[in-house]
Amino acid sequence: MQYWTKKGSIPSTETDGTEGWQQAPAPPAEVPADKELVWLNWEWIIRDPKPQDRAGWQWNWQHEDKMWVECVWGVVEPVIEPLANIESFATDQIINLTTAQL
Amino acid sequence: MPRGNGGIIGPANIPTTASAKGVWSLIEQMIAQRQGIWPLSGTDPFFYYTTLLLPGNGTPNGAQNNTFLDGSANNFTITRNGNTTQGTFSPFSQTGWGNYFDGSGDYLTTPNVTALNLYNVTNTVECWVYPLSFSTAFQLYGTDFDGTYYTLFEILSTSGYPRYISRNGTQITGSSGVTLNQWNHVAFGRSGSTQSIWVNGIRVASGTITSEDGWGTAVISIGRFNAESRANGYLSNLRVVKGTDVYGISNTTITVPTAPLTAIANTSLLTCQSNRFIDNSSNNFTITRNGDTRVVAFSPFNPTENWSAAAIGGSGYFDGAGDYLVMATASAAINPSTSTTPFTIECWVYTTGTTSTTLYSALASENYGFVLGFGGALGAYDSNQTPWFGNFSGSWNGIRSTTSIPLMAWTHIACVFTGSTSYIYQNGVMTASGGPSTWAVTGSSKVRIGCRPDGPNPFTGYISNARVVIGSNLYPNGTTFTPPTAPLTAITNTSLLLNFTNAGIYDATAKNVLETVGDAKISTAQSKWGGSSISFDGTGDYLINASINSPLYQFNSGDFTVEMWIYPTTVSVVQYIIDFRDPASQTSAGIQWFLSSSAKCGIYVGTTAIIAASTTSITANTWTHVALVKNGTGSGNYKIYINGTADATTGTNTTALTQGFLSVGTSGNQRNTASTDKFNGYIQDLRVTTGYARYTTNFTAPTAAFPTL
Repeated sequence: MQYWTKKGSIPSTETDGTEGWQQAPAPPAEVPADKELVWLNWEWIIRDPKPQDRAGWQWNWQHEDKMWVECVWGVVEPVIEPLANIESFATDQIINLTTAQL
Repeated sequence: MPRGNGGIIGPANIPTTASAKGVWSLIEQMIAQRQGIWPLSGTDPFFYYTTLLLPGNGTPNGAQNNTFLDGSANNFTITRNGNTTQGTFSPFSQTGWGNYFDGSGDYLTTPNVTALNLYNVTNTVECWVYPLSFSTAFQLYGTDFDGTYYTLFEILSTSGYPRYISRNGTQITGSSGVTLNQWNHVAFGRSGSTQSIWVNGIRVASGTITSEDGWGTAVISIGRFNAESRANGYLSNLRVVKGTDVYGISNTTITVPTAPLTAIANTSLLTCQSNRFIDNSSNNFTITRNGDTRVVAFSPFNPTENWSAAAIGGSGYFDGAGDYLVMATASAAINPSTSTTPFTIECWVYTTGTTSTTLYSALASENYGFVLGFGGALGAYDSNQTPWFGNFSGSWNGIRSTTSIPLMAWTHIACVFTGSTSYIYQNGVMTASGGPSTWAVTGSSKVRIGCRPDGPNPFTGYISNARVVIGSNLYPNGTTFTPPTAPLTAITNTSLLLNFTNAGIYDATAKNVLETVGDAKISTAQSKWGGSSISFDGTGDYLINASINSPLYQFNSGDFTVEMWIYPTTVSVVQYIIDFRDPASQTSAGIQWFLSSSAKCGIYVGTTAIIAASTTSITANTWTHVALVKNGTGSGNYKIYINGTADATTGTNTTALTQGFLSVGTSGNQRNTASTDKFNGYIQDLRVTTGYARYTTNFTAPTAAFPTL
């Protein structure tokens, strides 16, 4: 049975009749019970299920090597500039300010 | 005078979905629309509050968000690594822009110069503000205290009243204020010694300034006064006009603009309205980001066009943990053919974090022929986020900018080799030049996007419109140019072009980049409208928002509406429809919505039940419109509408919702599991409306797909 894909969509045996459909390989007939079948990067892959992530780490599919790799999340470093030259207020200087503004 | 009659005195007219003759106020329209009896005109007057819309009508059948296409004539196959994904968040949002201040150290500054000094001069200061809290003041514009003077245009804490104040001078305060969790237009107008203030077109203050201190010399801030930088909410289209009383101080009502403000005569400052921190007045003053103030595609205006790949485009999201794209096969077409061949590489970046790696880049060839990287030195990383452009052949050769790119804002970066000189441009301004006079690049190579040339060390954030043009110097000789205002195209000599517009499950509001996990996909098997929907098979399929904790879904104390059409194929197990909680914390203050094993809707905040189980059950293998609405703070403020009818069981809760994570088709904390909490069936027209309760009484379930503008 012929399978078709358009723009990398998961292959199916039917098209919608529009242009752009390409022939695609049929999925493997059998997938071991402890594996999963995915369509990725224009090919069918039989792979182990994704391992459980642990805090601060993430398992990622490294397609070039066809393996799961564990990657550390990036350290987010927001840029906070120090406040410049803040002077304290004398009482007579804050006559018009509400408490919530200070 | 009777209302609800199309503006005509006499017997009340009742609109239908086919006709609404006469002139109707926005309130009348809102009431009718909530009842489902307003004409389906194809536009949504409240689209600007819509923060997610998944029509589920992407194509083709089987489409996901993980296949990336090269739009050049080379049509290179692109390999996805990690969970890189793509969606409609782009530098060219059709819904306009605002800035988000999280209430903790966020503010903008601009130099205190004569053009921005409003002491004792006719002027108009206006903006739209969407406050999320009144626990602190929201400073809109003014100077810090320099030891002698300060001046502020602000929204007061507690009351939300607008106020103009200078130290020891007359202060003018509004008699009413802005509304929380909504966009409010605020205008301050002055002519001579008279100061007026309007909120949403109504004058709320007018008085004489009898005494006034000077303007001072301290920096001009937006969202801060001295050490207080706790503005919490959104700001959009802040305009300062010096020398013109734009609205006329004597007018008790004014017409609120319905489109983004422009730089009219005498405009000194026009900001908080772009994809980057920029002053769009002719002054082009530098706007400096402080804290983690961010640019967001959220504004008070409805778009004038739908999202489209050609006009709006998209971006790819790289999560900083193993995500990158690479050409599947090497090609000589992406390298200059001679050492003096001119070339241009460019892209837009929206960086959400920095990573402690030795080197990272947005765009690079594997053989180090060219690298667009970020760091304090050529070929190196540091947190300065300064772009560099070079090659490596035993040692690094190239140039480095000294201008950092801001996080949480779009920046256009172009790197050019003219044949003899190299340039870096940031947002159209040349920031580095020189470098080697030749680029000795030979042979074939692959281009990598979102990582270093030789490894997966990651870029963190969004990349859009990545283009490699070999043989053309697009931005010659260090001249300033206007950054692209539309998605890039495959012009002559384009060797590689990634527009990131191949998402099958896309957000029509262009605010999100969703990851399709498992084989969540577009399916033609079932559809409410248009021939397709989003399919979840119950085993590992779900959608998540790549931007992690989005402020757009932190509903806080405001109203909201979450609605969709669902077609569950099984209803005998617990399955989650949507979850906004932190995946790492089940108790975090986010909404979760699931179907119980008896097919009843359950609504929780964290682990606290609001509606433990709806009275009505959802039927399997049938399309059902479901809507969760929070309206106000009173009894029964949470309601579920099933096919337009309010369920008999309501809930009451006033917890501030601070979590904006998005999981569709799974609970957040079960993202990793194969079947636990997974939705099995189809979803279409998933719409989230932030800040607005679309339904407050029973209504007719939608009879057509939701408008996309």
